[in-house]
Amino acid sequence: MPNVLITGADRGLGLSLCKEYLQRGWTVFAGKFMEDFTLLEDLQAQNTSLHILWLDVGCEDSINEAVQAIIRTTDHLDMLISNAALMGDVKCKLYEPPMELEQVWDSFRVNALGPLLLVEKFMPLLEKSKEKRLCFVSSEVACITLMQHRHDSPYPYPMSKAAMNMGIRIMHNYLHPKGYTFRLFHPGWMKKRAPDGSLSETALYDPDFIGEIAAKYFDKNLGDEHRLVMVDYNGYEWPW
Amino acid sequence: MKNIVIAAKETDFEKALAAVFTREGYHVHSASDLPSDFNEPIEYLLDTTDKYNEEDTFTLTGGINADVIEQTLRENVLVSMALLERFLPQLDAGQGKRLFYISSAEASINETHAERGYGYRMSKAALHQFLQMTWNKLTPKGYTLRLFDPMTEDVLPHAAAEAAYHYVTRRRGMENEDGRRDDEDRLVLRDAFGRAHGW
Ligand SMILES: NC(=O)c1ccc[n+]([C@@H]2O[C@H](COP(=O)([O-])OP(=O)(O)OC[C@H]3O[C@@H](n4cnc5c(N)ncnc54)[C@H](OP(=O)(O)O)[C@@H]3O)[C@@H](O)[C@H]2O)c1
Repeated sequence: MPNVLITGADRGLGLSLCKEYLQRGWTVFAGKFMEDFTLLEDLQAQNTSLHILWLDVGCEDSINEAVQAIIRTTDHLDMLISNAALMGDVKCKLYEPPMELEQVWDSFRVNALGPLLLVEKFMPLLEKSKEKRLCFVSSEVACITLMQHRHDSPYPYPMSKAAMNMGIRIMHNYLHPKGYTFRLFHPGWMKKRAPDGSLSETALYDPDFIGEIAAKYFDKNLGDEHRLVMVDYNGYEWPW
Repeated sequence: MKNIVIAAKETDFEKALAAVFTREGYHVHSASDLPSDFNEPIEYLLDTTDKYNEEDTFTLTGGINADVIEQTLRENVLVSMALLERFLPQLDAGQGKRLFYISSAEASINETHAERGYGYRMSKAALHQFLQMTWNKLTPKGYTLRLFDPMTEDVLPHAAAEAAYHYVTRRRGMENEDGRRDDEDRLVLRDAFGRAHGW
């Protein structure tokens, strides 16, 4: 059976994707980042195909260590799902000086540079797979065209996701001819999961519901693999 | 005389742009030379910030240089954000309320065929989103934005500066005062040849 690495898997969509691929019988490497969440450990108690490894995608050394941890179990990687993201509420708006500009770098470091470094470091393992599938969880806020008229949000997160989409375009230009296939996904407005597993009231969707849709989309082969587009949970295509 | 602020007068394009605006009767201040107590109204902010790092040439298999990417983001984006925040009160007090930024068609996610140049292109994509969000915030206050590709490889600095001058100072088209047919109602990246590019 294939294997997959999923980043930011402590809760939310990442955890739901772990469950989806375990149900399919895959070996799952789950990136852990939150010390106070043990939902991954609970899942591991029911399924020995789940391997948990510490992974801070904003830190090059941590990514290198994750590669070494995975090499102890397997010599290849079939699918990489870059899901982790730094989203917190930050103070970075015009007319609320001073804007905390380091937050722009912080979001970029995790959300845009992180996926790039992940792919770079895991390429030797991906090269040994026939699948070579790279999946990125992006967001509607990455979309510059439809950001017009959107209400007043802080700058860092949307800027980092737009930069991430550009990074993925450049990766696609380089890697698609080498046999890699890409998925770029906007999951919709998902509820947040608390340490006890319960879901927040705000937002629209249960991450498990979106996880099922995303897992199918990531897994399925498409007729237009040469095309890089962002697709959402409804299967709608987004402009850049 | 109307005050305008340019980020710097260092590159040939910046010097040419400052010269064109001076010729046309504007008082062109360089942001780096302005004393901190300068508080007169400003008509336009010409943010000519546009840095390219010579080492920004790696591919995914060539060793991603995270330091180059970080430095480029800081130089191309954080500097511009700080500049706008610094001059916003004086721009609010001015009549022109027009902001000018530099990018490149090469930083279009739609158009680029590049396999390298992550630092420059990712930083400009972040800048584009910053400007789109700034557009949302500032157009209700009467601001307009110009995003310009000087086509440094193909167009001489003085010609790019003339193009930029007209792009900055002309209003964009609107038919019969009809807001639904107003080209100022969107952010556009235009190059020195007048071509628009997708995001
Ligand atoms: N939720 C939504 O409505 C929504 C909408 C559009 C797109 N998305 C995207 O969907 C993905 C999953 O979102 P979600 O709602 O499931 O979020 P989530 O529950 O907050 O999961 C994301 C996880 O990534 C972690 N993380 C932050 N920095 C990290 C780092 N440096 N290294 C590794 N992990 C890190 C977060 O930890 P901390 O909480 O400690 O930071 C969190 O556990 C993200 O890429 C997000 O941008 C979400």
